[in-house]
Amino acid sequence: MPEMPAWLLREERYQPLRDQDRFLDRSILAFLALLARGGALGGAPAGLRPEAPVKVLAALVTLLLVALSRSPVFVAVAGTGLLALTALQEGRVIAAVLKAAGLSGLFTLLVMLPAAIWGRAPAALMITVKVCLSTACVRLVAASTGPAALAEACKRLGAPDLFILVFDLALKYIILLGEFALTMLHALKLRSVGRNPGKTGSLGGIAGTLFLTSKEMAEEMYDGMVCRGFTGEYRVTGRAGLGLPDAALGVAVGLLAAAFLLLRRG
Amino acid sequence: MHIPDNYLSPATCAVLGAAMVPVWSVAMRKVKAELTRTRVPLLGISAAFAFLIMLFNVPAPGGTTAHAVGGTLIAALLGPWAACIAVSVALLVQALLFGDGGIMAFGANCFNMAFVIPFAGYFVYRFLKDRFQGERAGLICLGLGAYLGINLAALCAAIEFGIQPAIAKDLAGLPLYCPYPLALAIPGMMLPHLLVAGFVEAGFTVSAFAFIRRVSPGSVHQGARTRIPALYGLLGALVCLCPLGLLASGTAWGEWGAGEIRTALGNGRSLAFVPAGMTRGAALKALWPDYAVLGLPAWAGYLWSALAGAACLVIVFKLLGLLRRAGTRA
Repeated sequence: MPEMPAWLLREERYQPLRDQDRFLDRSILAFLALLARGGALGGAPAGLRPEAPVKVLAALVTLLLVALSRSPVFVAVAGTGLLALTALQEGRVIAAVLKAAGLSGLFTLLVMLPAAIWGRAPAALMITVKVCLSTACVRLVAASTGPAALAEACKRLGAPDLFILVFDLALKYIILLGEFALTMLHALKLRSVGRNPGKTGSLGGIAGTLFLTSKEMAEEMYDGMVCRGFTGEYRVTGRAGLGLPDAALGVAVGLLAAAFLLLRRG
Repeated sequence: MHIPDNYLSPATCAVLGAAMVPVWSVAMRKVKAELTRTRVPLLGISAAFAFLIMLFNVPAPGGTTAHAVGGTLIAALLGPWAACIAVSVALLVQALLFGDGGIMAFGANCFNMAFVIPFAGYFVYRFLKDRFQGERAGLICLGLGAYLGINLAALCAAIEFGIQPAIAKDLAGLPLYCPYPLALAIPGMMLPHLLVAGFVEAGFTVSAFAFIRRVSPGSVHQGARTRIPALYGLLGALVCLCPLGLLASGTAWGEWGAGEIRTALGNGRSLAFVPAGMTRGAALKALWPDYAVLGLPAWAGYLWSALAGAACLVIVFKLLGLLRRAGTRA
């Protein structure tokens, strides 16, 4: 009976060398966060809600008024209105809005800290609150509107078809390509046992492969468009019927504009 | 570099948004003419690619990480006009759905990241590549283009931030938007970009581009030779930026006139006398002293002076080129 070779009997004490792979972990986390948010791009929540074009227009007017205002009282009024609108949403939307507003507020607070220390605290605080409100307003529209409704809003607001096609495809393929990139990042992490000095170069390879895959996907997409008889022209079926929620939102924005005019001297 | 809402005044946002309208319009026209119908979906999927590129974290010095922007990479792969649309749509998706960058500041963000980065990066790359042959030289040119592109965009963002305290303040003189003047905004934005982010962007762009060229050389955009008018465009843009100098108060250090040096401050003390050489020295009567042209407002005088100075230099260099060519032929 042949003897076992000595090297096979030796106890394995492999200690992988320390390696810098924080950038890989952070990239993976960024893609995971994107895919976790993919649900927000998946479809519009059901229920009686304002039409997407009305929501987009209302958000634009609110953003403009908040940016133009110099009155802390008006900013407080706008904040209260936004809070009331957020309270009418479902829990998932409320969480998304509060998280986005909180993070942007925290970041702005850090940026404005030196200004506050140099005696410009009121201005720094006002800017921070305004950034919070603006982010909450945009997130509220995004979290309560599906991608198809956003494309419809773009069409109704007069955006060119090529732009809508690009926007629509981008939304859909962000998730598909994101999943593909995440798989490659995981593969790179698993392959890099111990020290892998070529890891940073491989990141360029992943980006390159992502581009080549996106080209293949684009060709397949075109074939699919030909098969379905889609020429890239968007048609809105039916007229936008403005209902009670649209009117209510319109009145709310009108009241906000009136408050802006009343309080503009701040 | 994603500017949120309320950091810039609505007027600044409106100006930059208005500046982007003709760019988008020309980009749409160019892309429609350049891309065949089969390649239109590529534009949409490239916007998704542009979005995802910004999620990649790249190692930076000190064990930290920085994220890539990829504007020059996309311009080198698809051409600058297609890159402009792809990055604009990626920025819109980020602003609208992910709260990254403002809606009002969308025009400003597009100006910095969808216009300045792809165009500056691409034209620097093409301009150098046409003059230096070889694969390695091409990659170095691309890296330089990416480095300059992102730094130029950072400079634009810094100027946008820095002019806010001068153009938008309340009755008490307090800033309504970004409170940091140019003297703070420019170093604050430029130092991290010049020292870290620029190199990160250049490294990432070169490594992704080298991979694609090795694996699928046909996928890379084949641009035409750069024409000199692109440089004239850059010169024109710099001329337009000249009136920014008016925002700075006081005289540049060491450039005091005889009337100013008495009160000039150094280390918290004023000189309190005028050196004799300055009072009795030769005085040259300039054609346009302090760039002021008779009867014109200060900003117009600055523009006029910049235009005349740039034109004189271009004429001198063209004449020198003519002499050199004549010498070579002889």
